[in-house]
Amino acid sequence: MTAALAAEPAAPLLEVEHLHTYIPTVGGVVKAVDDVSVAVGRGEALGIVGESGSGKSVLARSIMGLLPPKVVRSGSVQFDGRELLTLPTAQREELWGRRISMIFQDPSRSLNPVVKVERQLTEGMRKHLGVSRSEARTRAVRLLNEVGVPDPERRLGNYPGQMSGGMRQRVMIAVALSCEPDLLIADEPTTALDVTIQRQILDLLERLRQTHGMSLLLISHDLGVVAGRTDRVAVMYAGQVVEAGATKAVFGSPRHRYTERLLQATPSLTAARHSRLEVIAGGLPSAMDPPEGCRFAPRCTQADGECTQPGQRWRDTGSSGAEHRHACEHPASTPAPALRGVSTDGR
Amino acid sequence: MPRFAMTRLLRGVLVVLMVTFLVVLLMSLAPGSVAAVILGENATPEAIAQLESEMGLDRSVIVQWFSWVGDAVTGDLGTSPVTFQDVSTAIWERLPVTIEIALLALLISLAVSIPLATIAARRPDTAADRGINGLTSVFLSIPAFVAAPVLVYLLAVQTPIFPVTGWTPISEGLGENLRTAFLPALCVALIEIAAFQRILRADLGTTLREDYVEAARAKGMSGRYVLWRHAFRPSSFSLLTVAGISLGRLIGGTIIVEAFFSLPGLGQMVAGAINGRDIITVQGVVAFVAIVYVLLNTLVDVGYGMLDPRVRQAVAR
Repeated sequence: MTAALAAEPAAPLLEVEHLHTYIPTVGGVVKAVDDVSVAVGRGEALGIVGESGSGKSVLARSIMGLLPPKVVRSGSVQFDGRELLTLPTAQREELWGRRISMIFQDPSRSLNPVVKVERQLTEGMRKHLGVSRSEARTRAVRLLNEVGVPDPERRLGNYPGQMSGGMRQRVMIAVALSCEPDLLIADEPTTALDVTIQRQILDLLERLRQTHGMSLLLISHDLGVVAGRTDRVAVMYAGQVVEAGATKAVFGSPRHRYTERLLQATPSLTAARHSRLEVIAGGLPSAMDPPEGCRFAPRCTQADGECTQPGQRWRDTGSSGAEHRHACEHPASTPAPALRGVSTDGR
Repeated sequence: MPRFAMTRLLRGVLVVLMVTFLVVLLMSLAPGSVAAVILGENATPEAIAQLESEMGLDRSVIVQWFSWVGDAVTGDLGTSPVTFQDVSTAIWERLPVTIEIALLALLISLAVSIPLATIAARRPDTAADRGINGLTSVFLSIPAFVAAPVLVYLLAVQTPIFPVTGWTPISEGLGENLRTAFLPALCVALIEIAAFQRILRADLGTTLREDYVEAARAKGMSGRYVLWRHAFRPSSFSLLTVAGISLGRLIGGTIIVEAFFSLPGLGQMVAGAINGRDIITVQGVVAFVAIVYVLLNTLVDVGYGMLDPRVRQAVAR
């Protein structure tokens, strides 16, 4: 990973502040994202981790504005100095795919099964870049080459059903990169893929990010995916960020009790054989009526009365110069039980 | 022709053969004898037996079927014992009327239901969606014998745009012909509009929640583009199926509407034949309609393949 941290520019490319995303349902209002602030610098990779249902994917869609009309968002999402929350649809569509791209979890579902690869890959370029059909086709071949799809000329005539999962995700990445966006949002990009393919796709994403100078928002429940490939990370729990900072600092010496438990729950090769995998007892709190104060408190062994005081109280612990903040009343003090089995230094 | 179209066609031929066999069986099982109907109430049993033998009705069902199929493949569906008209000729004479009404009704149904369905699907649970749903509920619950007089009153009597009844063949001018065809077609289209709109709206609603629709939106493609260029095709399977069945049914004749507008179509012909116990005519029309159904279903199957490459591949394998 490069030293993007040290030279963080004054204005980040993406700045999310106090974002709330409330989804009305028949049972009540789901507070899917509840007061989240994160930022992604130019050329930087930010990881968002958390278990299923923690609001990671809704956060990604809230940033994009890719949500049903009944969903209510408040707060602020600044992208390159523009407020996205209030941007009219037509102008959002100008950004989507052009300056902010997104890739999705399941490549077999995010490509249209009845549309040939060629159109799915070229329609964005034709709209955003105004290129001709043949020019778009030439670019498409080049893109497929770049993302490692063999025999691109022939693949353009394929339907997604004629390709493997890994190939489809490469096509999705080619689609996302086709208009040279500034920011790529990858929502669980490798979760649906074989482990061997996961590695290839992540390597590909990283290489492309560096050659294209893109910023990356990488969302994953898999700490290993985020650990080696992001500059900074935010840990989400029950719709909120509970700890954030430089990836090495957060995973190297987690302070929030949730992060600590999450890291302990990661399977490890170095642990003794047949040792029980750590689990976090209990489940996510209700997203309609979350507990006051720290939302992890009901499952936390360290929780006391202070933890249930309303609101999050952030603390800066960026000791060694690295950015690191958390919202834990009783933070883990010992630096480094750390991420077992997952290295933090690149691979 | 693609191979899967061939297999569908062969299957279709089998179905037609089976339907015609059932029709012959039906004729032999029906109470009373055709010969008795022809000769009238005062005929002697000997005369009836003789006519039955002349008509070949004393043979076994299988033999009759072979004989009927043998004639039918040459286009000879027999002669009506009531009107003394050749059944094939009668069908061909009336067919243009029925086909025109059926096609026009289908066209109107699609032209109205597709925009309504897309408008509703793009705005789920809004006033527009619910309003369109209510409108089609009304269409669905109006029977043709109510729709026909109401439409005639509104569009032919109050504002005389269309003639009240009657039929002008295409040969006497397309404009006049369409004027006489429009109201009957609209009458039968009402229910189809409702059915088509609901089916397409439901399927579009499902498709629009697919990940690939979200992915296409994330590329910056407009909602309208995504609906037509990504969602419409995978959403139109049920519509294609139902439209095929509807067209088959409409070509079978729309008895009430034809009767109301005094159109010389197949429906009137069948209704008359049933009343007159003219089984040979009924049989001919039933066989003809079965063939039309099979052909349309084959076309629908071919259509699936055109809509979805996965169907083509599955069949090719």
